[in-house]
Amino acid sequence: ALLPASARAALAASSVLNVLMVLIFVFTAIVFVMLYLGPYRNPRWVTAGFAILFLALGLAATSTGEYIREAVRKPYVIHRTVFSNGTYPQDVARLRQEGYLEGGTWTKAFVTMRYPQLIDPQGHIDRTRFAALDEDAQADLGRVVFQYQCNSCHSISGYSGIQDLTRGWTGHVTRTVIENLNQMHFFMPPWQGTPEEAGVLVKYLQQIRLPSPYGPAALPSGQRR
Amino acid sequence: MDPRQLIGPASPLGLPAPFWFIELFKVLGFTLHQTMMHLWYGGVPLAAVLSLRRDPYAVRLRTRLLVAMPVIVAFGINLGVVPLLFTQVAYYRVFYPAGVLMAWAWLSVIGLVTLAYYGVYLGSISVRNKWRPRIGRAAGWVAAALFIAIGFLFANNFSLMTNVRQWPDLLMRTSVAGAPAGTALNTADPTLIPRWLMLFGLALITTATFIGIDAAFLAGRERQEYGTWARRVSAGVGTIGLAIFGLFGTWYILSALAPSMLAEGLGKPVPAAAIILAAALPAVTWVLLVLRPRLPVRLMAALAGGAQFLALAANAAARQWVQNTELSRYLDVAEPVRMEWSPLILFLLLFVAGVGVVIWLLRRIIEVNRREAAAA
Repeated sequence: ALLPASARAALAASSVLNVLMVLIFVFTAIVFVMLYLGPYRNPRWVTAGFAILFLALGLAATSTGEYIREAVRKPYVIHRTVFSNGTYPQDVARLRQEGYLEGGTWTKAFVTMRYPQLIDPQGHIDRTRFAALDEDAQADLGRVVFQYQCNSCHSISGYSGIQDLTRGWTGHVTRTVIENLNQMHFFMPPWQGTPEEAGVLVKYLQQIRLPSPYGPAALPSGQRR
Repeated sequence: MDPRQLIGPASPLGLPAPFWFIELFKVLGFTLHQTMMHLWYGGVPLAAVLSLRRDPYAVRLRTRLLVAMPVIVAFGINLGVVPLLFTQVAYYRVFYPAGVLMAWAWLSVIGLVTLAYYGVYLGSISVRNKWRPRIGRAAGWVAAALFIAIGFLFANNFSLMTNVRQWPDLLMRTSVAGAPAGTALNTADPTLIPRWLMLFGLALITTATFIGIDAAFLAGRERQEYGTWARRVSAGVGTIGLAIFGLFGTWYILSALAPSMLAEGLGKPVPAAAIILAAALPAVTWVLLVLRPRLPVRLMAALAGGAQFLALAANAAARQWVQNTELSRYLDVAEPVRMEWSPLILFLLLFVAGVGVVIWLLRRIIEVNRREAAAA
């Protein structure tokens, strides 16, 4: 009951977290039993091997706990204050309106230098000009969005790799997921960009996603890309 | 692109204390940190060089330096927290972007300091217990190289912090899809090398001063001849240090400070005093170490120590002025103040208590040494 509702929901929904919850109690119990039987009752048992095993189990207990803590506090890094990708909940509406790339110090500077043709006379990123870029440049812009908005939790092909998570997704599915992130997965932050930025992110994810092991799904042609 | 676009927005929280207070404690903290840091920056390489010599006095000096070094490193690292924290409070808008651009090198400092600290401990244990001399010597050389490398990385981050003009180029060269990979270094900055080596020269003068003070006040159990020999080494190290400081200090002033900027600084009393004293006081220390006017040895050592401490304070104050002047081109560092009294009061209380403990420890060391000298 001490945990926020989102953390309790995450624990209930994830079998990995349930296994780890058991493991953390097992590791902690072993550590205390070793502490009692070794240094307290039989100090002579404390050899180099005993000490290394004791250290390893202590580290295992701590890192298991850290993993669980990181998992259950999503979509926040500080509950209800900062999302896990570093933005504030109160900024989401503004970023959806003005643009995610426009709203970040580094993203704005990078886009200004890499794609000066996207900058309007007032010095803002003009999203309507995205469509004039070639496909690769649009995907490249999508990669910038990915790096800043998604990469805090998702690697490309390693931990929580986006290539595997989007395996076989069509462009339509990808876009639907992006625009409804927090509704599809309650432990993810809401989408924080404009429709045009979602478009370039879709192009990037479609470019790097892996094929479905069963081949393309039988979908109406309008939904397949 | 205007490089100012890469400077983060001002925090809505404002500064937790007036800017002059933050500056004052940054300068004071850096002065105290430098006092200890110089002793490992110059002292550990000197101990490594002394390990090549077999004569008994060189062995004694190396032993004395290495035995003291773990305590010196511990003090220096703790005292380093003060200026680092005040730098982050005063210049967070430029300090963090610089740290992000060179993140791998900057964060590696933690690992490098840890390894160097272990090296110092191994060297110290080796000379104190006559344990595995080869390992002790090797550890000393590794620690010396690591400390010099750490100095290079610090010089990189603090010069990159004010070299805002370079940021866009570094971002474009080292980013992955616009996200800095943290692999940049400020090596294109012409002030980097002189800045790094000027401090190394100053560190050698501080180390030379320490050798003189150690021989005069703390070496009661050593033979009388050791004191004479140590003072000669102190003069030699001080001379090399002053030469390096003078050479690279001149290079730094010529490369970093535009004539108009230098003239502006010399036109104001406080910066002018800091700049002149920072340049002149190391030479005063050198005169006291080398020429040794006919005064009691302990008085001479104490005067040299006082002159060098003031030199370090002037150096810290001059750096503060240079930082403010360089950054004034890009941002207004004097932000609105929203006083946070509770952490401020706690900090001041702990600071006074900490300084008191250090003074008490130093007095105890001198007392013990006096007793040992009397008994010998």
